[in-house]
Amino acid sequence: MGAGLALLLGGCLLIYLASPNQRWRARPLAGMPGRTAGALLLALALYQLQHGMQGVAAVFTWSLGVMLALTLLPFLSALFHVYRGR
Amino acid sequence: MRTEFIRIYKSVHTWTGILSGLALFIAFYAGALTVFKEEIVRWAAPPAAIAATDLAQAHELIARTLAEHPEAARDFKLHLQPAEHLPAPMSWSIKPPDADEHDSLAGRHYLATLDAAGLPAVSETQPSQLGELIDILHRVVGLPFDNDPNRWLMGVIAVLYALALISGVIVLLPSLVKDLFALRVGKNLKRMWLDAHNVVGFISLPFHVVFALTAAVFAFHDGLYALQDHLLYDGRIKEMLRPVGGAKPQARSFDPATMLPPAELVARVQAVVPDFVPDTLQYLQATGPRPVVRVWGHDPQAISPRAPGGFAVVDPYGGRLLSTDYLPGKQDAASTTVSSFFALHFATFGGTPVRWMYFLLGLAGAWLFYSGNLLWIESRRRKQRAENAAPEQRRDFRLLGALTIGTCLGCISGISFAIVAAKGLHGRVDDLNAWLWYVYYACFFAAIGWAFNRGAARAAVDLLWLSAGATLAIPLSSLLALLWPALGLWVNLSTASLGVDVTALLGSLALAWMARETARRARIGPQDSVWSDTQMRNRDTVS
Amino acid sequence: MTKPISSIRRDWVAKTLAGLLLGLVLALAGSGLFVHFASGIGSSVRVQLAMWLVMPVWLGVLGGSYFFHSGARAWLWLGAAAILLVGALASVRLL
Repeated sequence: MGAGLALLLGGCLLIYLASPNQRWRARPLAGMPGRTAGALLLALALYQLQHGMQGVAAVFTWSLGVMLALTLLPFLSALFHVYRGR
Repeated sequence: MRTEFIRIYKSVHTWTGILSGLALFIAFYAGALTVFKEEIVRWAAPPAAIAATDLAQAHELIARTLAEHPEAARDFKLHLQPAEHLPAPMSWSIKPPDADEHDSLAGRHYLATLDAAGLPAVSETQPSQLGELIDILHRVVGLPFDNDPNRWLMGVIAVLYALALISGVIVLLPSLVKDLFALRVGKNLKRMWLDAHNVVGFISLPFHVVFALTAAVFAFHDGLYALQDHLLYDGRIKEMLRPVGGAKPQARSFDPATMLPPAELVARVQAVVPDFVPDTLQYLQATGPRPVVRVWGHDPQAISPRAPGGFAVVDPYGGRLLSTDYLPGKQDAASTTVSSFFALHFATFGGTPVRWMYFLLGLAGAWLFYSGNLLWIESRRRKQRAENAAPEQRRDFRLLGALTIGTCLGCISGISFAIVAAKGLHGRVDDLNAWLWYVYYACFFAAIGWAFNRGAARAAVDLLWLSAGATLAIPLSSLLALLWPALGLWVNLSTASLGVDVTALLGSLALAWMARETARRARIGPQDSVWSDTQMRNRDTVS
Repeated sequence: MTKPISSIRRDWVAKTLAGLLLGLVLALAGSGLFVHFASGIGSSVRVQLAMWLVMPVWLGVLGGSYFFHSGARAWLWLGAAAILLVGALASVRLL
């Protein structure tokens, strides 16, 4: 499960950094290494999770992880931004 | 899409949100804590010699206890995993016949263990209601009783919540792609609150859809079953719902002494599902005509069908596995679908990592409702014209601001104080469980009163500090117990219990940070905001 | 004063009631059809699934009912759908 969640976090991070609204880097990642690689990592994460887990349980865990990571990333980078600006 | 429809759904979103937001805040904050209900109860459990359950002795314990207390045979439990709140391996309850099925604490509760001489020692006990307090607040929108009318009220809130979700997405659709992940912090406060609200609301939408639907079903399922029974099943629903039950036990004698030892029963289940971790054996009608044992437990790799986990049904005399209908990972597709609804609400899959995800997404949900109310106020306030004094804001905005601050922070600090009281008042008051409720509601209503009295801006700072302090008191009480044992406090050193201390410490730090930021906003934020505090401003200019 | 050009009426009460009442009829009839056609599923689980089916349909219809141009249209369309579904249920149960 740990490996699956690590892949998932990496995938979400890439997808966030490829968004035009990201605030972590000066400019967003290009679509190719960003979104595509991110989607690939997310697919790998799901594959990893359903190894040894019941199918539905893996899908639920994966969805929760994606929701949590993509919710937290904008908040963390906004906080980071505000504190750097002060 | 026609902008007219967007405007219509914006009204739907505004009104359903305002009507349900504060109730949902309580449901989500208390719900997030309910994920770790057992850990919180273990944190507060008074020190007792935890009799490590020796499975080899459990057989003796059951046989001898049932000989002395035959009334326990109807339904008793054997706890396999020692924990602070389960000081004896065997327990049962005698419930009054009119007790509500959801009220797990009704009636009288007994514990049994073997003493040094190998004789059963039975004692009556009063389980702590701390976990139930948090759970009940979560189930019935902050009311103290989990009964039908309150559940229906929660159901109405859940319906409003579902409408708010649907309408919120429709309103968001036109700007969805452009603004995805945007969180613009800056001068435009309305923009910032809106972004923050949208990020949580849209990204975790499936999570919220799950809770809106399951909460509505949990509130109204009795009514729906009754309607369907009348319309579809010609009154035969009871018969249809009865589980097939699997094979009948082949019992010859109903003498508990001839039951198989618990270790043997556990082994039979684990032979079928090696990943399954049993935690409780529930014996039903152990001396009746259909004796069965439910071997309850969890399998982190699979979804559990019910809130306490899943179970296998075993014949306690013959040892045959009678049913795996409720065993995680062993259900057919249709049963798995039904179980999914429960698992998704109760976080009964994936073990501890998933429970943390639920905890954090639940807190984010509470934030969603809080920010929704703030957004309503922020987008309707009267703008300050240059040079002029800040305009007087409309009364209903000020009142809703105060109500939002008082309710949300009153709930947070009230729960923290109730947790601390479960330890601090233990042995000092007669009816500790009643006192937990007094402490919670005293704090909750005092916070609302304070918010109305002081106004939202100043009360927000005060009450955030209060919440931070109340939450800090949780780990502080453990520290005090270590440093001054004479105080009569105690600290439990299991990972579960220390986890509560650490989480509360982090929570109190987060609340303190929010208190500082809120004070800053009251001083230097826009003066025409409900969150501006003239007095604090003036003090600043003088100094 | 110019009249609003929009032909979309708000009709809060009529649309909400249409969504609530006809949505429930639609959801119950839909669950009845499910019970009829999902006869391969064991009766206990089928009854539970049929109950779980009601809320998503009901709330979905309620949430969508504000898309109708007027309250009268909401009643007309949802009413027609309800008659259709109840009729379908009655005919499969009788045949």
